Amino acid sequence: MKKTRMLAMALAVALCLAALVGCGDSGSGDPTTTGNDATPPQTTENNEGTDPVVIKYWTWFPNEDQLKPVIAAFETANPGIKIELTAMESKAYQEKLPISLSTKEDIDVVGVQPSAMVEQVKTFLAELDPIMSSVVGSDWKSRVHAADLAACEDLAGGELKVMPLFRSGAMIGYYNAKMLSDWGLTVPNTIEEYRDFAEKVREKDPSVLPAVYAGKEAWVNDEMMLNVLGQSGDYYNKFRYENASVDSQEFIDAMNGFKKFFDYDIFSMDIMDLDYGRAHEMFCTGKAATYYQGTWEAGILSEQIRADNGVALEDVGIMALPVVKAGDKATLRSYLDCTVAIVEYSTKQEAAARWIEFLAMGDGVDHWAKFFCGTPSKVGFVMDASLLGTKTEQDGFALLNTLVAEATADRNNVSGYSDIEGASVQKVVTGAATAEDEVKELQKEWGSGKYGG
Amino acid sequence: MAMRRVGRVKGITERKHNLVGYMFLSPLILVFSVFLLYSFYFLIRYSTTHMVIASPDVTPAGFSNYALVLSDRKFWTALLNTFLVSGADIFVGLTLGFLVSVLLSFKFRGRKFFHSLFFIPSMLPIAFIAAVFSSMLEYREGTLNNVFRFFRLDFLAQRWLSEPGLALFSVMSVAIYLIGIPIMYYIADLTTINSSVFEAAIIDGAGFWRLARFILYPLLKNAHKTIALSMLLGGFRQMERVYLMTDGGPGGATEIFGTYIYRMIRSPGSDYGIVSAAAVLILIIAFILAAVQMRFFRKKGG
Repeated sequence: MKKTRMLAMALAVALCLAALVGCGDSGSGDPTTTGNDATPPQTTENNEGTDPVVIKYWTWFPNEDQLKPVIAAFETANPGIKIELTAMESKAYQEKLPISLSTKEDIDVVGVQPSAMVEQVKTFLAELDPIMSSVVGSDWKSRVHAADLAACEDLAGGELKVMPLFRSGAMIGYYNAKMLSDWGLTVPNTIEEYRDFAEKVREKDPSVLPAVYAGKEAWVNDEMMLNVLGQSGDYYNKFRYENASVDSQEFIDAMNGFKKFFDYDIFSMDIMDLDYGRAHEMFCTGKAATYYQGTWEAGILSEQIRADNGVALEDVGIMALPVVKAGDKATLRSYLDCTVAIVEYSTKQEAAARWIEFLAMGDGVDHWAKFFCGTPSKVGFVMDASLLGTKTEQDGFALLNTLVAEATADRNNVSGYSDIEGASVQKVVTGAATAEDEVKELQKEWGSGKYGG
Repeated sequence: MAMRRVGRVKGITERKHNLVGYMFLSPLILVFSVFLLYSFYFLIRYSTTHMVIASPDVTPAGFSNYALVLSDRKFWTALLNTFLVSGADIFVGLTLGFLVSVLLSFKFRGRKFFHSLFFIPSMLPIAFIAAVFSSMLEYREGTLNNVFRFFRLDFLAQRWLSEPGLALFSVMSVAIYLIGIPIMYYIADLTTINSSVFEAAIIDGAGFWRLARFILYPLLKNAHKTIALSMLLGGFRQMERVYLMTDGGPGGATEIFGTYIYRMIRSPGSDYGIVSAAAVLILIIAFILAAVQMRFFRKKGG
């Protein structure tokens, strides 16, 4: 009995020790990624003159497949530099990057999401101008759109710590050009024209929706409403940067203006249970004549990309959301969508600058831009003409770039708040609440302190 | 004197037994302390601060974060919806789950097949089930409405996920698919009941319903307790079901605690202090509920 008890106690002690060992630090981890070690990594450039300099590049976008050819082209042009890519999903990246930088993980170049992320990580980023001027040349800024550089400076509180890669905008309309042509329909410019357009679509084929967007997703509803707000001017910027109130006639008009698309049967309640994927699928399978999403979906313009993704549409065009109020401007909101930066504590800043030059203003742009992720910030960029086969596609891409360049307001969203505002838009369009009541609630929410507003 | 010595020896023996027990439990207690108690400590500590995860600056906030969460209408909507969804899970588990378990306890051909059929959905990821339901309940091209249309019952085709009044009901309906766990508890408890109880009842002329209602249902009180508690507390951990079916919409009509917290935290640069305060409040509610329910069952069970 005693022996059994002794054995039991010994076993328990062993289990305890095993648990402690399991929880402990093995001590064999990578010294460059542990704790708060403030010592910069000791890997150096031109080590013994033969080893290539390895640049550790973290990003969420462009994705790994899109970046592979860019990296291959860069490494061919720069044999002394090797790029080690770590690509993550957007949300995971938002969580991991700030922590990794604050613990001085071994990273040299990072993709940075405008705008909250820039604020979060700017203390870990190097001032770009001195590095770029010494490595690329003092005129480097002339190779990037000035407006995008200015936006980058604004993001980091007046310092140039992030380099713009591209802009994107939302929401923009994609239309089935072949369907419209077959049915003798023209692209609507006003909400009244759109109402007639919708009626004709239903007459031709009741199973086809005149217009579709991801109505289930709150943030998409928010984007749609803010597009209508942008048609009347830059009130969104006033709200975002000058503390203008949500509880305002401008927002009430925008909500009611967007509701009109439902009142006119352009959008139907049938779309309110469609998520992003399903709305996209409806359009790509010919079950919707027009479809709204961001400019990041512009790959659908290219016949080659459509074919690669099994989309059978013959011809696709681009349109702006038709204007609600006479005299307003068809527009969208646009903003920097992706920037890149050099980590302040990196010991390989010269090589990092060469990589950034290639990626943001060099030949690398041609490689990733062909995926239509956005409008590149590189001055003089021209899209590969072979990707846009028809005139509708070419005109559509030109219109997209014009709309992005001439946007009336910034698409500088606060994603948590977008969900809340979008839920209010859902309530208004479904008739569950009035715009007047919702803007009051939204003002309370925005001013609650949750969003720093 | 002798009695006192016996008592002392008994006490020493008990302490030794306890010590062995605690030694065996210690690895679990250690893991629990590190991962769970530290999480509680973290939440409680930071709930009274303003904190952004990338910034080293943590500023005190007092109880303002709690006041902010408690004054948020969406928090109370999420609380109500969490109760409703959990309530539906408990109701379906205690009724349909119980009935199916009783039926499965009879010996018939294909019993194992049906047992698997009811249990397999519980082993599937809830995200997968939610995605399937989301697609099935779509208004325009969903299977359910298409079946109604096929049988010319168009009036039954509804906007299951986009009509505010129906969306929560649709989310709750998934409970029917998740009765595998209640069935497992019931079947485990059914095996402990002495078969002579049934034999006596049958001899006394009890039919199926009487047997189920007056004999089995009271005898399975431990299973009811376990199911009710686990389903209720499980409701506080739910997220994927609502997120994938309705995204908390339309207009926040199906928001539950899981999606409420997720929405608060998903913004880059969000204040973890506020999120922690919300989490602490939810934790307190869950603890109170668990305590009330256990007390209730203890009283009922004598």
